[in-house]
Amino acid sequence: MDADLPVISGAALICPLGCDLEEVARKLWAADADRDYPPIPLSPMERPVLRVEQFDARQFLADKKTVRFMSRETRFAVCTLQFCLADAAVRVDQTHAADDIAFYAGTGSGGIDIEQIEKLLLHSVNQQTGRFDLERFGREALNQLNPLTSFKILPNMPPAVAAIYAGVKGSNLIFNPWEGHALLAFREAVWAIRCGRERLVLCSGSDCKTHTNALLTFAEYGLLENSGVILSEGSACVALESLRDARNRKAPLCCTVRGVTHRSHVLPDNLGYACAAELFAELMTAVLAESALTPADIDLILGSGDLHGENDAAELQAIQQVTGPSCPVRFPKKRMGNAVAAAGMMHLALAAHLLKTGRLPNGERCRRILINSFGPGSELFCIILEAVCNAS
Amino acid sequence: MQRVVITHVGLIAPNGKDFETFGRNLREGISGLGEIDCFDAQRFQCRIVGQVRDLDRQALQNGFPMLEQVDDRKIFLGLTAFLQLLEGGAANLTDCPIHLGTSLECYLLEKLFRLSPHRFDLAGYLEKIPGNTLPYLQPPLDYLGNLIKSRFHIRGAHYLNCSACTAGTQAIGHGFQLIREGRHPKVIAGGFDSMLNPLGLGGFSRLGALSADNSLGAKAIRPFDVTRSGTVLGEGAAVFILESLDEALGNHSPILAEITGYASSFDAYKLSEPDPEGSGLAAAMERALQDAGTSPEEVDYISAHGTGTLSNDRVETRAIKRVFGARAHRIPVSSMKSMIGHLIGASGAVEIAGILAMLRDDFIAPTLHLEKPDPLCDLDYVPREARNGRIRIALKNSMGFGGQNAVLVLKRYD
Repeated sequence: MDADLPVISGAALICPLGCDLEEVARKLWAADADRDYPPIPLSPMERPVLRVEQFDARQFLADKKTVRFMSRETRFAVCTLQFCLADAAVRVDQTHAADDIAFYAGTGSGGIDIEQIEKLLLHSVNQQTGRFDLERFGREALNQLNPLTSFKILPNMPPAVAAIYAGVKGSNLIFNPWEGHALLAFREAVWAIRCGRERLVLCSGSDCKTHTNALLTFAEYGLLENSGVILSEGSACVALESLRDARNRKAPLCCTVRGVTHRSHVLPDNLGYACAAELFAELMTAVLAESALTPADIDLILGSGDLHGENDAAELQAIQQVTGPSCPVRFPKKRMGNAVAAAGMMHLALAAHLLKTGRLPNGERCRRILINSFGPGSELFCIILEAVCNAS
Repeated sequence: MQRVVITHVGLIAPNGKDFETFGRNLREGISGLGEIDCFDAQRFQCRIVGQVRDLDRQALQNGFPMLEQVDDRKIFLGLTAFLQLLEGGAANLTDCPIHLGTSLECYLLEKLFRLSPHRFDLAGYLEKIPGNTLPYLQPPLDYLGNLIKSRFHIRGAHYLNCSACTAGTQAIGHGFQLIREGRHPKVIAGGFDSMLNPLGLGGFSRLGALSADNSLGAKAIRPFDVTRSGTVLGEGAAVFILESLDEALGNHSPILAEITGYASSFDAYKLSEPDPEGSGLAAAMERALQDAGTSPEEVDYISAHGTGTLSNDRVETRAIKRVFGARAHRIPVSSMKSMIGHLIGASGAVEIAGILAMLRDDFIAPTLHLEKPDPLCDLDYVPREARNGRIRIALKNSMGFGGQNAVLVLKRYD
């Protein structure tokens, strides 16, 4: 076996279905088979969001006071990094020097709470004209703004604060704003391990799309049209290292990264979904070829399944074309919602966990999982993860 | 390992709307700072900024009608810099990855107010979105890259780095790695940013990091001076073509400099302030030098992050001393922010362009308005006036909110 092969030695996630991977998998499989779900067009006002409920970051962090300065996305990112370090049996400055732990991440847009904006607007009204008045904004409204707002909404903050809490001091790369950009971080992590530039890379995606501002921007971008997308929130993180390093330190092993195929799509209107069956099929075929596998070798496909009518139809067509009807497919976003920048990493963490156990929640054996990521934005991915015992 | 060179630059900055003018003004110590006038900020606490004056947005909109969808200065600035690359002869970009750094979305408060005045009414607002011709409330950060990709048929990966004040340097550093490790022969990389909007300027002003010395005009920012009172925000963009040396020679591209090393690090200290010992930045400098195969004795110049805030300047000074020891006092270190302000996500990229000008024209840009050095900032900051000098190896330091650091090593190509 190739000792330089990148392996995932730890995985963690926080999503609306929970923060225990086993429990999340069980809940996903408890749903009805969801291969052919119909699109659900909803008006923006009727559109539900899936929140992470009953989660209190203070339960997991030693310094509880500073939690109130963190955005929801930051809280998720901080906690998943801690969970992932524990799952990978990495102890900073014991198993690895802090400087030797790299952290590559994808984050969502830095949304400002609409409640804060509302305060600003209320104090910016010119009482005589009823119009927005910059003079009043500068004189009065800004005093209503929490001084730490700029910090909270910077999109690098979730991973940066997570690094502070974990004591991680190595190289870093932080991308924004979509699912595919977070997976670019994963691809760069795989490369950095393969070429020996990094020894251990923590790779995460985090996002919070359950606030009103996210709904507004999605509506403006036209991403809610012909779409049943259910916005959600959360974070996921995996630990990547070489098989050699993982074995040397007797780390727990989830799976190997067998193939990562990426295409950058040109979006004619700058925003939106690719909706391109041919391109999706080409990506799936390419990742199989890169991995020297055939469709029959794949035990499960975790589909992108964004609940976007046209894009989902294109994905189903591509799956049908490449793997035929026999390969089991699951669309986690149907139950977990779409946490956008976190979504692809959530699928990866879930797949890593399933391969670690070697079984799907329904008891079927699982050796290889193909993950599609065809969400909004220009960056599209197909990734194959493989159980370690099967790696050749 | 491939050698990596910079062959083309497109730039727009507060003190120069192209690379030539910017370089000349750096040498002559001409500041681009002054009172903000791109919106009415008379009642804002901090009003001195590095603003790009006379930005011709209409001309860009004529060429790119979809820009009517956005009212975000950084997108116009970034596109201007990219178009300069093309005018400067950059070609064959179809398969290039594009890696741009920036910080934060612009939020169009006035639009929100127009569509939902007084109390915010979600239902009312959403009803007005279909057919609405106003610009986006909050264009996504990848908007510019997507625009460039679609208009110029660029198929390479699109990286959008959002690492706050280190984003531009990180984008270029990662571009350097993509070429050096043989993954691509050519990369488009740089940074673009503007915080010069009501919420951007107001938000940073509330943070307490900005100088409120409005009466001092361009002297509101005084890096390393004992009287310094904070930084000033700026805006701009710099975009580069990085190529493998073989590719550049094969294309007969002009070679502006070689990139020989890069590293990044986290302070992992505190949310709102850098590690007072400067260990994170020092680690990034040490690793970047190691990556370049360069010893500290070979470094001729350091382009400081130099924000002019009380803590940043001291921490950076301490970090430089940790790495260079006694020699730190003999290395010229200057802050270009004293002339252009803090360009946040674009700062590293624009200041790297400044280093290219220094390498080419044999000078060292000054730190303006440094009259009384802080006793704890006791290096050679090239005060007030540029100096003639031939730089062989230069370092670019960047430090970001949240404790991210990035350092690039540039070398004269000969």
